[in-house]
Amino acid sequence: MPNAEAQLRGEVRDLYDEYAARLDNFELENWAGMFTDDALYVVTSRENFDRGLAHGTIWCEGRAMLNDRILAIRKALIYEDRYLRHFVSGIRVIGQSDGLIESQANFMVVESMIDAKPEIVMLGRYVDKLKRTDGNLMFRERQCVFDNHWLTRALVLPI
Amino acid sequence: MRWIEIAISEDVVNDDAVARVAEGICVALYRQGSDLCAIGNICPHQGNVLLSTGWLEDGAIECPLHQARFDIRTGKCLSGPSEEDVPVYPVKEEDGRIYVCLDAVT
Amino acid sequence: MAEDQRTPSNKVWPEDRMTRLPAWIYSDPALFEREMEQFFFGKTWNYIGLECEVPTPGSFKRSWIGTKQVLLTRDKDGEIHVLENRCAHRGTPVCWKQAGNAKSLTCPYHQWTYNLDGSLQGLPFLRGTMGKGGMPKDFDRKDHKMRKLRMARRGGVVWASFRDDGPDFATYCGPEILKLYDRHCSGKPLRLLGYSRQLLPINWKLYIENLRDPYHATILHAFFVTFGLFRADVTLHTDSPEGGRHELASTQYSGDTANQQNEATQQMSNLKAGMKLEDMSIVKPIDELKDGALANFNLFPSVHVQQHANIFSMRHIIPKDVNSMELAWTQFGYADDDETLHKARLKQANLIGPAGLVSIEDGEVLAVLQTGVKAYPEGIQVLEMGGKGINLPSDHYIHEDLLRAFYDFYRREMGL
Repeated sequence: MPNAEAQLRGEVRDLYDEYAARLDNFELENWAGMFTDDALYVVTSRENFDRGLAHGTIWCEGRAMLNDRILAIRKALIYEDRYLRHFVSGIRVIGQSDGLIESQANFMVVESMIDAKPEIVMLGRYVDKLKRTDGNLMFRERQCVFDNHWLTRALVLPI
Repeated sequence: MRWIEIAISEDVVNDDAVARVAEGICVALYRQGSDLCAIGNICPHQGNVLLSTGWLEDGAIECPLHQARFDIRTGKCLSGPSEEDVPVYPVKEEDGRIYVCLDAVT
Repeated sequence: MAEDQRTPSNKVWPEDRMTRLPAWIYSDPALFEREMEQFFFGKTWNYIGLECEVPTPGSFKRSWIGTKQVLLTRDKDGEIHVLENRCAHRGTPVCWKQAGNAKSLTCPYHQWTYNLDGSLQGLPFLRGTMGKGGMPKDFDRKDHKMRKLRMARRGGVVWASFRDDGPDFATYCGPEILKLYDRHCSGKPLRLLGYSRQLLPINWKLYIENLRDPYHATILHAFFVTFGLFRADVTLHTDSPEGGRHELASTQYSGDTANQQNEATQQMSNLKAGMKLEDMSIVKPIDELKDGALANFNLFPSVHVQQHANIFSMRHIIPKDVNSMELAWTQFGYADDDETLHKARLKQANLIGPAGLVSIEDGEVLAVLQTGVKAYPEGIQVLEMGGKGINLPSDHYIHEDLLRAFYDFYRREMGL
């Protein structure tokens, strides 16, 4: 059924665009709202991911951990102002199993800071499991797998 | 035994290696006095190197790449990095021609 | 640049040597080269990796001692080695992969091939070809190998030294460090959890200082204070053993007091009253070592060994040049961790690393600080918190005795 496939792909694309826009606009609470309550959100290196190493530079299980990170970013952490912009491409629906949609996409995140040229913070791919909840797609699992060998300075904001 | 003609006698001389390919198998022929030997010609260590391009000394052929040494009569690895031996093929000489049997690896 | 041509000897330490720190030490390339020789390549022991990172014969992983790349290997007999990653022929780094498993290591340039113990297996065209070329007759493969470094292993951790004439590893550490070391790296088999790598645009000494500065911890790290993880009202034991060379810090921690605030914590300027975490598991550790303690130490120069609650971390300090360093975090646990403990380690790791809810701030503030000290090399810094001498060990946070002790050691070693 090519039409259903195209429709799903379009839906996933809209989800990814919305995700990027919420982070770029610093709507962190709305960003967390795109995850299911039991979601897994991991930012990890390709070095870890390819070798099956569980550690993530960010490793959040459950939306509560995302909310705590947002609280820290908003109220507790001290860092220089920065603006992030996400570029997402190559969106693919890989398959469906156990009521979850597996999808992937490439991402590039560029950071702009005072007195500096914009820098690529991270290049990589999203490895996702999406769940349909009340008709809408939500992230049950999002692993941001970055190709960078290093992260420069600090990773303040979500990817 | 299925004998395959692989060389003419005058090509295989003392203290030299002759490389041949028969039925897709790389074979090296050696003559040491009255002995005629046929062994596998690919170094099992790494790199698909033809042993016949190596150094022949004291009845052993030394791989040019990493110096694994093999006995040309027995195929046994004598020294160096290879953990495997090379195969030895039955060989016979008749009417100025050399034949090997590739089925009967020893 | 004119600044770069000035030698350290032309730069002088301020008169009040103990309490004043000159800013030029963070941007002088010649001084950086001397530090590499004196410390990382000198009579020191340097962190290389964990034995569990090279679990089977043929395993290898790259590591660093200062600016020099080394290899941690396990040979076919299961023996562990630390080798310079340098071909005996022309100096090419032999291994181009971060980690892996191989029967031998082949230099890509001329395919000189080595065993994992560094000995030379062989090289192409040793005897020349068609009777021409090749190595001279007296060339002996045994004379040409990847240099093997002096190595020490303790509790599943591998250390190496470029020098054969320094103290043995235990002597180098000293009894106080070893007591903390053996606490969680006791020989119980370790399990690698993964890596986080951070490129910090700072001179490496700024990071060493950061580790020895409890004063900043209660002030900069609002997350710690806000959520009761770090409390100025709790005793912090710190010392700088072996004449200021190393540093250690330990404190008692209870998950019960997390999120509790009292008079002392409320004095902290960044304290945000009433803030609560939704998921408290990150601040409620499992007391697996049965002593309720958090313990860290900086085994100078190359690593900060951290046990914070259930976070086990090796922070490998890898200077790149005078203005930058890599901070490579290796996270680990025990081979027999159950699922609960394994997950606790993964969750708590959100506090540390490049995106750590605490350590983000170190990356940020040090990066900004480097721009300041680089622009004002004539600047002079003040270290008077807690007094003017070295009063160690200490039992509180509000002092700079560890910094004074470190620079006292540093000046002695560097002849400054």
